[in-house]
Amino acid sequence: MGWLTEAYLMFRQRIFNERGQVASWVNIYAGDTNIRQAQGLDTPVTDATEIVVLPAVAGG
Amino acid sequence: MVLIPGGPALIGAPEHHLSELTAEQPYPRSWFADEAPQHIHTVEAFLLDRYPVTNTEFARFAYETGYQTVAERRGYGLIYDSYWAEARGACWLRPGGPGTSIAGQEGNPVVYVALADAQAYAAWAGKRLPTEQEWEYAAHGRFWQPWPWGQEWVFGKGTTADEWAGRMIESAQQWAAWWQQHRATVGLLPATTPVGTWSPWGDSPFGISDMAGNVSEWTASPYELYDPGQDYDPLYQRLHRLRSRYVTTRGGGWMHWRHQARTTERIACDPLYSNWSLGFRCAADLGRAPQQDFPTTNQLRYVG
Repeated sequence: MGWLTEAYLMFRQRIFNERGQVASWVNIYAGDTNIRQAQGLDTPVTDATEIVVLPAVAGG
Repeated sequence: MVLIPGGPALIGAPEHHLSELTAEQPYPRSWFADEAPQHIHTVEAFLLDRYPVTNTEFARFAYETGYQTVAERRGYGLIYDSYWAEARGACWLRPGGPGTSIAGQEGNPVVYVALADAQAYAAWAGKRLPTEQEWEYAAHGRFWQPWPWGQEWVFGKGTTADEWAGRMIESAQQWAAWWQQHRATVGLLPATTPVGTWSPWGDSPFGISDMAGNVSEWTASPYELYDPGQDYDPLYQRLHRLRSRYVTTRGGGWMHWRHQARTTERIACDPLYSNWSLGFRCAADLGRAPQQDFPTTNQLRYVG
């Protein structure tokens, strides 16, 4: 996530809050695990782990 | 509470409505495709609050139980400026953060409530949250109509950005222009209106108020696609696969466009999420005896 938000600065405000934590309007899943329910940004992943960033609120 | 009779009901939007919607606003059809296919769902008779839960009602609950909401415990609430921001101290009692209050908004819907907060209130009141099918049925009646009052959007029937702007908002640019003006005059505070402001003109066929705009409302239903075999946007498919982790909210809020306050509009929401335009109303099964709905003197003192 650090690489993503450094390579694409526009994502920083969308994904992290002012304290550098995952913002509450975003959920990050490592596989089926919401990283908030694991070890946050330190949640272990492998090369095969799919990382998905989802909005906390989604719809038309 | 209002008795909603049981029976079969059409749930979801017809395809022609989604086509018309796609033509008259800037977002793609895929945004609304989760409202289809329209299908018949049999609803048991139930009771539904005529209005969303108000600040006064929630204050009574908090006063009597000592309950603290998710936003109070974590120490911030979400407000929108140029984008969403975590505002320290913002919660239902201090909707703009420290130094603000709900004085003068006793009859407005409570906001900054997460799903657990709504469930806790409902349990205390001897009620429950409505399912999303119950909510939609109560909003448009047995047959589909996009607005609680009928087929066309009409001013003076629901609190949305269009209503605040005094004109139809047709683009993201128009919404942003309205927001800048609104923010300059109202400030960073929720612009809800007292429940029942638009009643009876904006009521649903069952006489339920505030079902288009004012606050989005929690339901008891996990977000699921109506027909997972259909081709939906990958985001919706992903949310469907996570269905125990997202809950459907309905109705749209004061800062949404009119299109987002339609009876069939569906939003998937993280249960821990709350903001200044998200509230709830309660349902109950027939035969339950909910507590009385009126404030006590202590409750009003607590709010003030």
